[in-house]
Amino acid sequence: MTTNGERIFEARVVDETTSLHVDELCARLRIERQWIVELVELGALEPRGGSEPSAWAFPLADVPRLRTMARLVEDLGVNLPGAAIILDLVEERRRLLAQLRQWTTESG
Amino acid sequence: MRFKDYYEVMGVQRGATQDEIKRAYRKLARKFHPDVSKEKNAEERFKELQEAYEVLKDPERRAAYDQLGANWRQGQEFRPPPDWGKGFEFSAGGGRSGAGRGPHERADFSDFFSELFGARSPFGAGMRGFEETGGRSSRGFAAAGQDHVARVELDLDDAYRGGARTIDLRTPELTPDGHVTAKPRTLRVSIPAGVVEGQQIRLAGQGSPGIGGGPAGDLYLEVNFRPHAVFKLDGRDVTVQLPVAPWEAALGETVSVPTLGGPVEMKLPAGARAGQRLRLRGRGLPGPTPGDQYVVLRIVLPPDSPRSREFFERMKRELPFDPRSEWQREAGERNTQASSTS
Repeated sequence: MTTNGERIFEARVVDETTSLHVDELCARLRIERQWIVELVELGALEPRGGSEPSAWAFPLADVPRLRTMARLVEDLGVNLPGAAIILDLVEERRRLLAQLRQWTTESG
Repeated sequence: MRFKDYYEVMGVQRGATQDEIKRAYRKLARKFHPDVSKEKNAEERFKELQEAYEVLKDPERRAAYDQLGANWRQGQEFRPPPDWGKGFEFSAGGGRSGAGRGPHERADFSDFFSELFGARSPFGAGMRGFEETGGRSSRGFAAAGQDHVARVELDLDDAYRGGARTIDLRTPELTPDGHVTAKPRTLRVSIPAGVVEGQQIRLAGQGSPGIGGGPAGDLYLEVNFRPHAVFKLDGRDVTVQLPVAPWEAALGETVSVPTLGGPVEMKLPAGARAGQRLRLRGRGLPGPTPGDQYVVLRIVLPPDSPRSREFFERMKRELPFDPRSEWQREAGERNTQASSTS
């Protein structure tokens, strides 16, 4: 898509409706399937598709979540249950800070 | 190529023990980890730190690095010695990288690192679970490029209507003297309507280029909204605080309310209270389930004037009303209870 010769990149919402097969997810994040299996067992990820791990699919919105957990494990040596808890807290904090930011601007 | 002083990056003495290095890493990682850090340059600092730690935590790599001598300074022009890596006994693979079964998504480290410790260096052989640009291609398979993540601030209108916006990004890049710096990059991006705070949007193929014919990585933009003076967001729901005159609230008048799509008429319930929350269904941000708009009433008195005083005086005389009567009774009961128990 171009306007006046300038390229416009199309952004798509990383949403809950688009699914990614487990192998594609692993390839994209360079992680092993066992890792995903553990996160599903922990309840940190909800698979779709089938009961067998080879048939699993995950919403695209899990990609950024997984990336954050992967970094916490890799960089800080946090274990998986710990990373899942940190992710929950980081997301909650982000939501609260966003709310706070909305309301601390004086309306006028 | 520029020399990198990994001891300086980690803020430790050359004689530091492995334990001290580990402690320094943990302390700095806690401070600069991009997922939890509040520091502005967290991402750049963290990449430098990771690279330094990758070398210093490993006794073999550290010993080799130390052999270069203590006289090199950060950023100094550097060539690896021809006998680099000779005479070192290498452990047979494994255990070099952080988490063996964990993710191997790695920052692109400096040329200095690649040359001395990368996959083609004497230290590269048997290196398990360590991804590094040159290494991947030399192993002869194609791999997708790394995904990038950035945070962008949008106006509320971008979310409501969508459309093309110019976005300024800072991409971490290595400078010739081996520091990581943020290189500005500007993109025109078409924003999908209905994106919400904290959500990520994806620009396919705008991450790092692929390796060996692999596809390029994607660029993920995490969306934040600039605070708006009137519309406050919570997910797809919008809240406005609507100023109303006392008689509009009392009589249940029809008032004009701003919404993201333009003003709408809303009939207040008669006897509306200050702080009452009224809902305009489906007037929030668009989406699979569109958000609602909440209208919180704020009762505003008319500006002070002899005429308004006159009205209030008359109300005072003619309306027997104590807004605190209920309240005083409850406070009174509590006071009685408190005195009887003591």
